[in-house]
Amino acid sequence: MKPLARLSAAALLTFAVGGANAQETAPTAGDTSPPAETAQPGPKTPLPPRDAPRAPETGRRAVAKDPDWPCMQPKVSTLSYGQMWSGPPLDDAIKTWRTDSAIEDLVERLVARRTTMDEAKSLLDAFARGAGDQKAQKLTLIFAGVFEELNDQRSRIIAGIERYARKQRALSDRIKDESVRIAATQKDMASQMSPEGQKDQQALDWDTRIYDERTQSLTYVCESPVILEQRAFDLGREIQSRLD
Amino acid sequence: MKSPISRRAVPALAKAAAVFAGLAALIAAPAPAWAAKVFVTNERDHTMTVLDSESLKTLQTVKTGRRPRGLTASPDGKLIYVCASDDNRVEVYDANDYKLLRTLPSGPDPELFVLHPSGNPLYIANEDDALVTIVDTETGKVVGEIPVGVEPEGMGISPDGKTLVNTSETTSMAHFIDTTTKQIVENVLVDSRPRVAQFTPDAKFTWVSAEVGGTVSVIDNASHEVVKKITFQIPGVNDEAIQPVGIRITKDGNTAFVALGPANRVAIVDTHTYEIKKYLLVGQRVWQMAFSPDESVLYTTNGNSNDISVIDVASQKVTKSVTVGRGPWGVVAVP
Repeated sequence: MKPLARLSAAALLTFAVGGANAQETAPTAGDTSPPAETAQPGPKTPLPPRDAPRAPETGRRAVAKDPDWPCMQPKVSTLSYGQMWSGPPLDDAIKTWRTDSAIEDLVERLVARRTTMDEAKSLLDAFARGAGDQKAQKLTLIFAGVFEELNDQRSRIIAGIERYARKQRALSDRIKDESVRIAATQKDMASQMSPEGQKDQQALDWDTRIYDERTQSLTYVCESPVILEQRAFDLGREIQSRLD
Repeated sequence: MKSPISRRAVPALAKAAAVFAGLAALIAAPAPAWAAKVFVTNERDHTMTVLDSESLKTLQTVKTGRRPRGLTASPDGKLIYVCASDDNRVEVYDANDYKLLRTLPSGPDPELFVLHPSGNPLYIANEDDALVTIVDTETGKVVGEIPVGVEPEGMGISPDGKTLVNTSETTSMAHFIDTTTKQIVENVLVDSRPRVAQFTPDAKFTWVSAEVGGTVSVIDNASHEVVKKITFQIPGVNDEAIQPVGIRITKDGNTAFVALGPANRVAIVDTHTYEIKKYLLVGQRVWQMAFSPDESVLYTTNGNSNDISVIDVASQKVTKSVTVGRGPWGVVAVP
């Protein structure tokens, strides 16, 4: 239960920060309220109160808006190609890369998880050699394809993580309701030891166990978008190094 | 291919004895006498990578305290200071044999610090306590604490050591502190989540990056006014990915480099016109940067691609990326 509890606490805090910022922690440049002055001249602009809540982390604003995002990593729904590509704009290439079946095949192999980076490098070397004077244009199409495919995969995983988080939340609500109900109805030893009482308790134990296990695997699930982004970046770097 | 440093050094020697200099350069080739060492802290590995600046090969991987982040060197380049954030201490290493010499108290969760230009004291930002802790590097004693805004992080110091600037992430302020009186002189409001403060070499301005705000504020040190707010736009990159953190300015005061976090770019800025001349693609989530001792090269730490990028300052090009440990954070280069 802890991670979700933490998440909602963090979300609340972020909301609180938004409100507090407006009232307490944002003295404007023109703020002329005098500092607590002694004989010594202090700063013109005073420090805000020390118990001001913490700043939102980068990307946390998105988290506050989206309670279905359970990961520590900030939620970035889609990647932008400029984060891994300094070549010409890709708008046309993203539309046209699928028209060449050789390019489509290579993209498929490059983005596949079973293809190691060393294999990807040799595939790109062979492709660059064979592309002749169209090398730059064709490599640009390859990157457009790699970027689009990995970005799609990544978006699907992010949607999956959100579904996972919603299920976890529903499960956590059920555990809470059940434990409240059991506590209210099983007040003596006799009701606790009754067949229904035992059954209820067992069901609750199972739900709790499933919830805990899913929470533990969340750490790994949340790494998947990061891994795909790294893959896109690495392939982009390899493709660009073959452009010159 | 000779490096810019050896190109510069060889003509100097040639004046004295051309033939001898030529021989010396040849003999020195496998291990050049001018090679620098580059230290990189790896936040997720709890290590520090030491690289040779010429070969860019790892000389050693040093085990540090937990979660090493901020990193700096003594003015003579003999000592390396590391913020071991999760061990709540600063570690001092010998730059020659990489041995841990001693630890300094730091207050809780030290992230970044700055050394007085004379090498003493060390000013440390304590994120959890809203304090700047002052530590005497000789005696290892805490000699002062300055209350600042909430979540202090960035630390800059004027070339004469008289003014310290600390940024606080929650308060979104740059605090100008008189190092003699240890009092805040003025608090300057900047954009959201300021991460780094950097003085210009002429000490007239302080540049402050705002990670969430996406800007760099240039503050006039005399009037404490923000005289310019630099914004960044990169074709093909979402605005939210542009998160300025590290700032470095060349000694001639003409060129600034700004690391833009998950945009994976370093912006090159003309410090006089504030015009952005170039956006270099480096590695993933670029945060901190450091010049080589001769300033021919700038190193960037790329936290998510687990490498550093090497930027040739003169040609403004990325020449290489070198894999280090996981989560590279701080970087410093010494002769």
